[in-house]
This record gives sequence, structure tokens and C-alpha cells, in this order.
Amino acid sequence: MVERRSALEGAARPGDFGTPAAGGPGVILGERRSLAIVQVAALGERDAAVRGGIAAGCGVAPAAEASRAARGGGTAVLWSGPGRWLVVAAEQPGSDLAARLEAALATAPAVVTDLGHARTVLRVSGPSARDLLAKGCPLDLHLRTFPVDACAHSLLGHAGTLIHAVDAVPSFDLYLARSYARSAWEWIEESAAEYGCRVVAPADLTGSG
Amino acid sequence: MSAQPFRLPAGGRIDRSRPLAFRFDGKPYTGFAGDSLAAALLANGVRLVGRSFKYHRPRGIFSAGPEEPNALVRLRREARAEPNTRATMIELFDGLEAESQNRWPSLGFDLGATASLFAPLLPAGFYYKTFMAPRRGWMFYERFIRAAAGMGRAAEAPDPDHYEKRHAHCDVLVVGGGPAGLAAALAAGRTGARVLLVEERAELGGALRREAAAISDAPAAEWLAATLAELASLSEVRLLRRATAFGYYDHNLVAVLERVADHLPEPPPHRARQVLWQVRAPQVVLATGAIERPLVFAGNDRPQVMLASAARAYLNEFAVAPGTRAVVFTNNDSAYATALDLRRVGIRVTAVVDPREGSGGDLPRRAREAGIECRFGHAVLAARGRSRVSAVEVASLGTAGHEHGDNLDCDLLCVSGGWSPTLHLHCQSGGRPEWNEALAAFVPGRSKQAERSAGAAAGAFALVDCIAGGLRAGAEAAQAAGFGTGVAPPAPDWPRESAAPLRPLWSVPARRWLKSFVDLQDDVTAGDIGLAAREGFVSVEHLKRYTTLGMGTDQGKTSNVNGLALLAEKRGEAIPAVGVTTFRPPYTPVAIGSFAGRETGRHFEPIRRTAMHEWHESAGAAWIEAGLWLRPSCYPRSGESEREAIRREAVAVRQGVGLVDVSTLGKIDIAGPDAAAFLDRVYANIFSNLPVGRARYGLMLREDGIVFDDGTTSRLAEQRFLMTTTTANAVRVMQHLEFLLQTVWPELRVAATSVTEQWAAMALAGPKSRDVLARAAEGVDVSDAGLPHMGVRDGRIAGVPVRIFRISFSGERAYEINVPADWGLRVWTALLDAGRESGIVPYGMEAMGILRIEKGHVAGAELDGTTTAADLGLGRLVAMKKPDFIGRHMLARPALADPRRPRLVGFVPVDGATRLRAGAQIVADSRVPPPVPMIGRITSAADSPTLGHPIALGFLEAGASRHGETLHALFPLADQWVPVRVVDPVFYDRAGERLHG
Repeated sequence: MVERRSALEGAARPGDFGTPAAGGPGVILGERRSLAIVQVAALGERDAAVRGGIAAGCGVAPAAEASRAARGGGTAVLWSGPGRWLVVAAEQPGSDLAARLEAALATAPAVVTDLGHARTVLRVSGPSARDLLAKGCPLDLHLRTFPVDACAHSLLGHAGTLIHAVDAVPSFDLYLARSYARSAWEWIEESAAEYGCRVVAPADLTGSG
Repeated sequence: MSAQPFRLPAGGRIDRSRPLAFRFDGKPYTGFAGDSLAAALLANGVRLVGRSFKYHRPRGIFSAGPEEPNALVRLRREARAEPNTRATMIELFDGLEAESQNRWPSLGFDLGATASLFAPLLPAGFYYKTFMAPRRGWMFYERFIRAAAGMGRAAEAPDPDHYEKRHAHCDVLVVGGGPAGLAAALAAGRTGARVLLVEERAELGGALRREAAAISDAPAAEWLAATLAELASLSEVRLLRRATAFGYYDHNLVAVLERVADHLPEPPPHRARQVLWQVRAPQVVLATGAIERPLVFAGNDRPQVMLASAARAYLNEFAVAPGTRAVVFTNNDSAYATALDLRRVGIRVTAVVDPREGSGGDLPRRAREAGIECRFGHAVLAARGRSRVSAVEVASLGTAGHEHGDNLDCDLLCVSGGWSPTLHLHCQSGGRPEWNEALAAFVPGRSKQAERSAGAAAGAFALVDCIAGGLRAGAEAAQAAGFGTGVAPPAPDWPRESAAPLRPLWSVPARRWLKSFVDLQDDVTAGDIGLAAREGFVSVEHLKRYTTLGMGTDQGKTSNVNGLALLAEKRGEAIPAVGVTTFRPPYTPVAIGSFAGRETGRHFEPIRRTAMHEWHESAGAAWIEAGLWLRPSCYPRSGESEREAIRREAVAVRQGVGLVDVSTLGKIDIAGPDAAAFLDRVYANIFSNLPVGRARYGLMLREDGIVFDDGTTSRLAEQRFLMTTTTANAVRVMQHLEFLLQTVWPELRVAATSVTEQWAAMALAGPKSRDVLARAAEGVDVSDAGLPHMGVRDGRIAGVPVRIFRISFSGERAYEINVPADWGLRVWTALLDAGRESGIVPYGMEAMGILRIEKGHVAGAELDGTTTAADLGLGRLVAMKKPDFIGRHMLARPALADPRRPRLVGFVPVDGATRLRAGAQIVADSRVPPPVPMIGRITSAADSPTLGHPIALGFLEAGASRHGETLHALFPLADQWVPVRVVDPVFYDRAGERLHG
């Protein structure tokens, strides 16, 4: 597979900056690269067949409720609107996620759209991650109201984003429109400096999608 | 280092081990950590700190809190200078510099003070009166009034600091960190509710910090320490200090300004100076305390006339003696505590003057026991002295105004006219305060939002009542937010001091030539209010505007109730009948910078970048903004002007081959069994008969029949289309489609998804474009048979999948290539490499604009929201045979069908050389006197390198039948008129042969 060029190429340089707290950097920031991202849209309100098709196509059934993600085996299915899900998985040579979902949903009332290059995905983690996001995101990201695997569309500063709570560290994945990624990255870097920020290389981002 | 002559030898909550140097009006002083600037000035014996707004009267420090009307100073220097900051709220820091305001040449000798001599000419409303007779008078006055108006000077250099915003959520927001607020936070916090407490000062404790009793009195001090410790242990309780809740908006949105670094010389690295918090709380507890009211008597604005509670704060919190010989003038019991505290530290209290006939309260009794002279039934007639009080005239109330009273020497006059609960946020939330006769004060009325008041803010002034009320409010708020049982924890069981009721005394009769101030900041006197009432300003809202009562930066915190009561007195009505002035945000002044937050400079707006952005940058592109996108306008080579570059690029496309980044065009994936039917409804032309693998130009109308947007839409599969939109309308078209699918035709089985971000797009255009494509592309037949005009094929370039559309905006043979965005740069450079031997040239928006104008293609300038398809010469596209489509019905409106409507035409200058301007108006005859009938306009203009002369597109009434006429293009802004000839809008290759060339 030909290597992809991230929207953040040259902007995201690994290293520490800002004013860290005594316990180390308050924010760990990195880009999740080489992701396959496929949208599945159900046509009409009866979407049981679509849910089943998604499960068959990627191995993970969508969560039953709205605004929740389901995960398993490195694949995440994020609710992104009524009857809409984003299926996210690491790209694998010889295995086209969009094609697998197309095949699994061939007879279901659904539309499969590849958005793998449309989103830049950032992982924001660390003890100050919530404080950082609060500077630009009007959502209440407290664990009580936004538990692990909650996901919602919101804003980060000027940029629209889909936020997914990944763990209780806390860590969040931010799905940003590619064209906004660089501006958003600069905003995050400046906003994170007061907590101390460590930028990690994409390869150092562990944890499943 | 000066000696701080008025610093008490012991006590206070200052840190004597940390002396801080500061300057006021250039003179060096020292204070201690923990001082406010006001406290440090008083410790150094500085009594005169400013000049008043209108009369330039000498003014001192009046309060110890946010209500300060007098002690406004310019803080810091140069770019960080901030006018009108309250000395009472500034935390002292080492190296602080402040200067006094509203004086020239100096604070001690101020020429503006001559305004006092003209005082009889400057009555209430004099400003409005200058507008009246004589009619020309205003022209004369204006210069002087403008020069005298305003307070303080803003910094002129850009602010070197940054500001931020943040969102916050909690179950219970508590405003105020005094005993009531802390109790509320504790009661709510114990239930597990998320609690945010905001306190405007640096330390928590509120009035407890100022009570000598709390420091020596073990129970209160212990309660405070234990409460703070428990709050710190609750993980869901957050205490935010130096944070003022200044605005209460709908849906319990409370705005809070956190002064992160105002107490420091400059913000630490990466920290904002101030942060604007937007707090959303299901429940709010307002524990905002109360503000002491002044008394209105002659000379009550002299420096060293001070609120009794403020004098106590300086004594107890800051260990500063605000004077050496004091008189206390009060109509209530609370100021007796001040008298006792003054006496305790050895300041002589000459007398307590009290208009009441007596008081059986505990505090007055203790004052009498301490040997303090209490003159009941008396009032202070006048404060004497110039730049500070030197004596007061005291008389029996019955004789006041008729006879001279006793002169008592003093250098400090402490006043108390009772207490007003701080109702600003309650009012802003929609509550309407109610008058409480017993307290002679407004108290919170019925809540309109989920808020409740506690403590002094609710009219409960005794400490035990504050704590009990706070606990109750906190428990109830938590329960309302879904936590706990609503039962308040037990309150301390302390004895309550008995207090006698106050006696309202709204003004002391004064001799006619003396001024009794109601509003110290805006220099509004009791006389002004009387005058306004006589002139008919009987509504409190009119009174306020006419006299400027309460319209200073302090928003009348110390003057509102007194002013209202005086108006009621003049009208002979009860205070509630006169009404209450409402409070608007902000509670205290807020710097504009905090509203801007980070959204300045490069973060004012985000920049959207295409996948090829960095290449354009390194190629030296000149940029043009297209919405939030940055697009190359042209790529000037070294030594080349932009104009030359644009010309070169346009010529290259006509003669060779060019490559342009068109990634910003909107792209929408439209798929599902009803996709074709959907497109037939949203476009004016037909799409259902479009074969797979073909593209078609589409014209989209608004409901009113006017053209909305245009673009090519391709059929990728039987049930899948790719729609393109203009860059400008990409979002609007997407919203339009979603609206239609969700609300108008929910039965259609179609999904519309924006894929603008998924695809990088570039157009390869020019007679040599096929050669280049043939060299670069694999797996696709690019011959005219394999990829005909308006054909769409998949292929590969540089090893990655691409989609190739044979469509043209320039009129030349052209291919638009879409590639998944992360590979956009790869394909872009591959095409440039493949085009090198053909002399390929990257081109920008300007060249593209010239090429499309030459071809008469319409763009945003023509689709301006006023033009129909027929106006644009595209009437043939509108498929009226379709049963319905958006805009169809309104097309039949007579105004849209009028044959005289302006139609798209071309214009060329008659002399073949003068450049035409977009925006010019077309007239038939330039010699007729105005108003000249305007019969058309120019929308786009270019200097055509292909044709060798200027050209323009525009609209002309009945234009289709006027080709060949000579008219005039007027551009009055440049005083230009150009004879133009009307021509066909397609200037070049009318037959369209070059598409296949």
C-alpha cells in the first residue's frame, strides 16, 4: 500500500513543550494515522439489518443506544447520528474495510461511504486533557456524563469534531475534518502549553480504536 | 523604603515577611503581600487618590470592595496599562505601578477642578440641555465637552498578553465564597453533586476575614478552617478564586471572569491573563453578600469619608489604621462594630452619631460600655476639609439645616446607611427584587430561573443565619439537581447578637451651596435628583439617564437605593412604587480581551488547507481567501509581478497545459435507490437519464426560483452520484439537501454525505492535457473514445486510485482528477512531472477567472442571489416538463418571467484598451442629469490575454437583443466612465471546438 501523507505532516513534531506539572506533562497528544474510516448510513428507520451487516462486515455490532461507541479487536463503531455510524479500524494491506462492509451490506438498506482520508484523528490524553478540551468544546466531558465509549459531535474552537471517550485516563479521540486539522493542531498545542504537553509519534499511540 | 506610618504593629492577614515595593503617581512606597493597593496606600498615609468625573473634586478611598466608586487608577504601564481599575480590588505585587486619573497637571493641583466654579452651569442633564437653544450652541460646546468627557486613558499598544475562554459544567454553582457560599458548597458537596464555587477575591472566607471576632473568636475561625478542609477533600468540589460571576443569562448560563494573572506583574509563560468561563449549572446558589450604603450629607465625598465596613476591613484584614481620630455616622447597629474595632487598636473615636433615638442592640451597648460617646438623635450635617476631612458638623436631627451644630475634629468619618443585598445576578436571571421595609432594602424576589439566594444576599446579615441559610440552599440545590435528600446539615449553634432596627435616613438637609453626593462616581448630587424630579423625570429609568445616576463603571453599587429613595421622597411615594433599576451584565467591568479569548491573530478564523497547500506555499503562491480556505491566486516567478504571472498562467492553459488545485469545491456523495429521483427534484435540469460514467452540469434553484448554485454531478453507479458545488456554497448546499431529506421528503431512500474532505481535486487543462494524462495515468483509456467529453473513469496515477472527470471550466480540453486526500500531493507532483516535457504550468484562481470569463461561464459574481436561469442564459436547462423541482412554481412569477429582466451579456471597451471594473453601472447616456437610469451592471471583468483587450461579463436590461449597442460603464468611485459595446457573453471559441482540441 502506498504511504499516506497526513494533513499534519511537518506540523506534529514529537517532544515536550510548555509548563509541565510536577507529575509530568498534563496532556499527551498524538495523531492516529493509517486508519480506515467508513461511514454506514441506514436508509429508513428500520436499521436492524444494517446493524447486523455492520457486525458481519467489521466484527463489531453498533451499540444499542445513540451517542455510544462499540469496540472490539481493534475496530470501533461510533454512532455519528440517527442511523449513521463510523466504522474505524487500522488499515491492513489486502483488506479493504469499505469493500468488506459493502459486501456485508449488499442487500441491506444502507449506503457505505469511505471517509478514510476525510478525517484527521487526534488522541488527546492525560490528567489535563479535559481542562484542555474545555477551552474549546462546550460539551460536559466529565466521566459521569461522558463515560468511556461515549461519542458526540461538537466543536473544538472553530473546528467541528466527533469526540470519542477512549478510556478513563482520560483519553479522547477527536475526528477532525482534514482541512481544519492543521489549524486545530496549532490551537491545541497553544492551549495545552500551560499544562505541559508531550507530542508522541503516531507509532507510539497504543490502544485500540 | 518608606515606613508605612499607618500600619498597625500587629494583626491583619498580611504577610509582614514579604514587603513589596510599588509606585503611585511615580512616588515609591512599600506594602506587604496580602495588601490591596488601597490598603497599601492607606498604610502609607496616601489619602487623595483621584479626581471626580464631573467636578474634579478630590476623592479618596471609599470602600474596600468591588463597589468602589472613587479610587479608580490606571494600573501598570505602556501596553499593559489598564484604566479605571479599582484600587480596592488590586492585589499588591512587587513593582506595581499605578497612577491617578482625571487630573492635570497633578493630583494635588488639578486645573479641571475649576469645573466646580461652573457647577451652577452644569446641572443634571446639562449635556442634553446643550442640544437645545441656542441651536448653534452645540457646535461651540462640543469641543469642550468632548475634551472633558471620559475617564482614564486606554493603552495604545497591542495587549501583549493572551486571554482564554473555557466551558464548565457542574450540578450546583455557588457564587460567593463567604460563610453562606462556603456552607452551600459544603452541603451540596457532601451529597456527591459536582459543585463549582466562584469567589471574586483571592481568599475564601468573605466577611469572616474582616471580622476581628473571627480571628480571635475561636468558633467562627474553627468553622472556617474545618469547612475549607472538608471542601478540599471533596473530589467533585472545585473552588475557583479570583473569579467574578459577572453575568447570568438564559438557561442558567453564568459567565465568570477568572483573573488568572492580574495579581502578578505579568502572566507566567503559557498562562492567560484572564479566562472567561461559561458555566452551565442546573442549579445556582447566589451567596453574593451585601454592600453597605453610604449616607447622603454635605461633603460626603471628601477623602477619608469611608464606609464603616471598609474601615473595619482595613483594620482587621490589612492591619491599617485608616485615620487617627474618627467619627462614626450610622443609622444602624452594624457600624458600632467599626467603632469598637477602632477603639481596640487605639484610634480615638470622638463620637458615634446616630439619627435613631436609641438602640437596644448588643453592639451599641458594648460601645457605650467601652466609653464611646453615642449621640443619638443626631446627624452629620457636613464634612469639612478640602483634600481630606478635618472636622464634621453634628447637629440634632430636629434642628439640622436650621442651626449650626457642633464641630468635631476628626480625620476619618465612617458612614453606614444600612446594607443592600447584592442582587445583580438575581436581577440578571430575571428575578425582580422586592422591597423589605424592616431591612429598608431590596431583597431577592421570586426566582425565574433555577437559582436561590443565601446569606446576606438574601437579607440575612447575622453570621449564624448566613451559615444556616447557606447550608439549606446548598442542600436544596443539590436535591433539585438530583443529589441528596435536601435536608441541610445542622448549623452551628452560636448565640446571635441582638440588633435594633435601622432608621432610614435618605439625606440630611444641607445648606443650599453645599453638595451632598448620591453617586460619587458620576458626581450626581441630591440636588440633581430634586431638579430632575421637578423637571418631570419621575420614572426611575428616566431619572437614571437624565442625571447619569448609577451609570458609571461601578453601575451605582453604592448609589442606586439612595437615589431611588430620594426620588420617592420627592414624589411623596413609597420606594416600591417608584420601582427598581434593573441590573444588566456585567456585575463589574470585564476587559474586551476576555471575550475575544484566543480568537485573535491567526486563531481569529481557522485556515482550511488543501492536501497540496504545502506545495503551493513552497512554490511561492500568492494567496486568496475563499471562505476559510486559502487558495493560490497565482504563482509569481522571481522578478515577475502578479499581473504578469496571471497572464502567463492563462496563456499557458490556452496554448499548452496547466494544473490547478480545485479541492475546495464542495463534493457530496448522494446514494441510495432514490438518488436519481432526488436529484431530479433538487436540480432544475434532469439527472435521472444520465448514464453511469457520465457527468452533467447541474443548476440548482432556491424555492423562490432564483439560482442557488451550480456544478457538475456525475453518475458513478446506478444508485450513486457525486455532486459538486461551488466552494462558497459547499456547506449551504449540504444543509439544503439534509433539510430536504429529513423534513420534506423523508420517504426518499437516499443518503447525502459530504466528501469534500475525502478527495483532493485538481484540473489538468489545455490542448496538451491529454498528453500529460496519458503519460501519468494507468489502467484507463484516455482517448476521446475511451474518455469522451463529460465522461468519468477510474484509473491510477502514481500507484494510487484516481477518478478522472473530463469536464472543463476553461473551455479547453480538460480533466478533473480526484484522489483520496492523503495522496493528493503525490498525484499533483506526478502530474507536474509527467507534464514537464509539455511545459506544464500550475495556475491559480486569477488565471482560472480569466479563462472562465473568456468563455462566458458564470460564477459566484453572477450567481449573486438575484439572477434566474434565464438571466444567466441558462434557461434552456430548466426542465419544465418535470412534474416538480425546487423553484419550479415560483419561476412563473411575472417578475421572473419579465422579458426586460437584465440578461447576461458581454462588454468590451469601445477603445479596445480601457480596463473595465466589476461593480460598474451601465447607463445609456452619461450626459443626462442625475438620477441617471441604470440599465445594467458589470459583474466580472478581466484583461484577456487571449483576445488582447479587456472584457467583462454583466447584466443588461433586455440584453439578449442589444448586442452591438454602444453604452457607458460608469464607476463613480474612480470617477470613471467608459464607452462599451455590448457583445455575446462567450468571447472565445463560441463553437466549443477547443474542448476536443
